[in-house]
Formats: sequence, C-alpha cells, structure tokens
Amino acid sequence: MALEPDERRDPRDPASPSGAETRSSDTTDALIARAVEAVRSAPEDDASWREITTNVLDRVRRLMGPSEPVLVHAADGATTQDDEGSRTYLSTRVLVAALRRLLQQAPTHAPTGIDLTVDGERLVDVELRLVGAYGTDLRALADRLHVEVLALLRDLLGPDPQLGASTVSICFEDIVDGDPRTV
Amino acid sequence: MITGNRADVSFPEPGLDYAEATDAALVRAAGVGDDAAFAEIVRRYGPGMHRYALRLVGGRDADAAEVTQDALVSAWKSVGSFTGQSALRTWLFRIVHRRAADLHRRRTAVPIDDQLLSHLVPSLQENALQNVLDEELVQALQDCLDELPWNQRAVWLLRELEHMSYDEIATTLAIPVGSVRGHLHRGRRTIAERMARWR
Repeated sequence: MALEPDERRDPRDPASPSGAETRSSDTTDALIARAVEAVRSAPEDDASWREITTNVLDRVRRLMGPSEPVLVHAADGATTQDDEGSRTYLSTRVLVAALRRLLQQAPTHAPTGIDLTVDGERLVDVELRLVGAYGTDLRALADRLHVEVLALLRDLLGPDPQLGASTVSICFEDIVDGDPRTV
Repeated sequence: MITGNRADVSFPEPGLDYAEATDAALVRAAGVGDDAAFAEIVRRYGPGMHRYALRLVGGRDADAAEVTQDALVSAWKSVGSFTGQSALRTWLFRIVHRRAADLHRRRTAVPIDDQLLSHLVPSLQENALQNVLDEELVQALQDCLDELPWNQRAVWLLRELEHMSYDEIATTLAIPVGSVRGHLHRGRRTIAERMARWR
C-alpha cells in the first residue's frame, strides 16, 4: 500500500536528518531497520507462539456461551419421554451448532447469524441471517432451506406442534461474488 | 441427507479450507461459532498480535503470552458483534492494546521503582527471541522502547513494526490522527538518539 506523503519520513524528524549528520543517521536508521526486521522475523516459528495458539484454541473450544434448554418431544408428540414423566432437553447451543453446520454445506450461501428464541421451554422463533452467492435464486434457496431447517429441528426436538414454517425466518443480508463461505 | 435418526442429524463440519478465505468470510463463520475459521484468524493475525504485545510489555514473554491469549479469547467472544467498521486486523490489535494497557496499569500500580521495572531484562528462558542472531540489537531496541512513554511506544510499534497507516493506528489506539503524528515524531527521535548512542 502506498504511503501518504505525510506518512513518509519527515525530513525534519531527527530520525532522518540531513547534511553532515546524514551518514551517521543512515547508520542508525540501518541499525533500527535491522532490529525491526529481527523482531518481525522472530516469533512466528517460536515454541512459545505455538503454545499460545494451542492454549487459545483449547480455551475457545471449552468456552460455553449462554444457552437455554429446549424441551424435546417424544415420537408421539408427548412432552414426557416415559410413563414416569421424565423429560429430555436439548441446549440451544447444540441447536445453533447443528444449524450452523447445515447452513455451511453448500456454496450458495453462508450463515452470518443464528438467533433462537425460547419461550416456556419451547423453541418459538429461529432467525437465520445469511449471505448469498451472486446469481443464486434466493427465493428458491430460502424455500429449500426452510424445509431443511424444519426437518433438522424436528429430528432434534421431536414433533413439537409449535414448530412450523412460521417458526423460521430467513434474511439475506448481503450478496457476494463467489462462495460466501470463503469470500 | 436428514434422517429420522437423531444420531445422524448432526451435519459434519463442512471441512472448508479457510487458508484462502477472506477476512469477511472468516469473521462471518467465526461469528456463528465455527472454531476452524477462528483458528485461521489466529494463524493469520496472531503472530503480529503477539509480536506487538511482546514489544509493548517490555519483552517479557510471559506477559506477552497472557496479553495475546486474553485478547484472542476476547476476540472469539465478541467476533459475532464485529461490525466491520474497521479492518479485522485493526480490531484485533485494538483488543491487544487494551489488554496490554490493563496489564501495564496493574504493573505500574505495584509500589516499586518504575524505572527498575521498565529495565528488567528478560531471563534467557523467557526471552522468545534468544535464537535471533541480532539478539543484542533487539535488546537495545527493546531498552529504547521501554524508555518511551506508553503511547509513543505503541504508535512507534504499530507504524514501524506492523506498517499500519496513520488512520489504522488512530483507530487502533482510539486517538486522533494528529496525535499519532506527534507520538510517532517524538518516538522516532528518541529511538534514533538512543540507538545512535548504543552504536
């Protein structure tokens, strides 16, 4: 990237003097440049950097964001799983991860936001924000995704009668030229 | 693809190669919880963040590691709300700077001689740059940097080491561009004087 004129060395700056001091300051500048280059080239292969990376990614994978339990329905639509009235719940964290993977399967779109609303232990709203690929028939894509998302939710949560087409809303926030998963 | 068996509904990770992905795509994916995309962000910008942290905190490797790790974990937590108003790199360096400033404040609150602290030479075990041939030169530069006031040091590092533009530095440090110019001018002058003496 080209520098703006005022981003080049200021000739009045003592770090880049002129006249009789030029040779001396040139040597100093060269020393500084050499030190900067040594610093720049040092850490990337360093063992401590590898350790930092490992620690960061471990912490990231262990981090648990906010989550809510969602009631799972039995195959017959009951909210209890057996005669003793036991209930099963699925964390919204699991649902978001499953939806994210579903929405990352094709080069026509990519998710930018997945928001779930839970009311009374039931999933009542799924808001999906997407980026689409230029040239994709977005209405057809949205229709297909509605079906796939609902099927996924019903597989995970059982036949909750509240889960319907109106539960899922899809918004395309942007269109990009290429595969939105990598562009 | 979707079956009636709940054990089968978890789609596999898409296995995308994020090495060539744009920053925008990485932010998008990391924002919805894709840790593989975040790992690429770490790979792409982490070394620079660590380098900046290391020089900012006086070459103390343990402190730089703490600052960098905390900054990256903060970035993971908040990447979903990153609006893209600044470049991803600028945003990441801003988080590093804040973390380093927090550490600096904690350190300077300790009632010991500030000069002693700023001139502590990292032990050989701690110094991440001990394998660099120019170790003495780097140490001399670090000593110069340690003598600079905090903002001058930060501006000098972002400009000379990370090659950021004045606007990017201003955004990273949340200061006016005019202040960036002033800090850089004074920082360069001091470094040049000190390094001339070392030579």
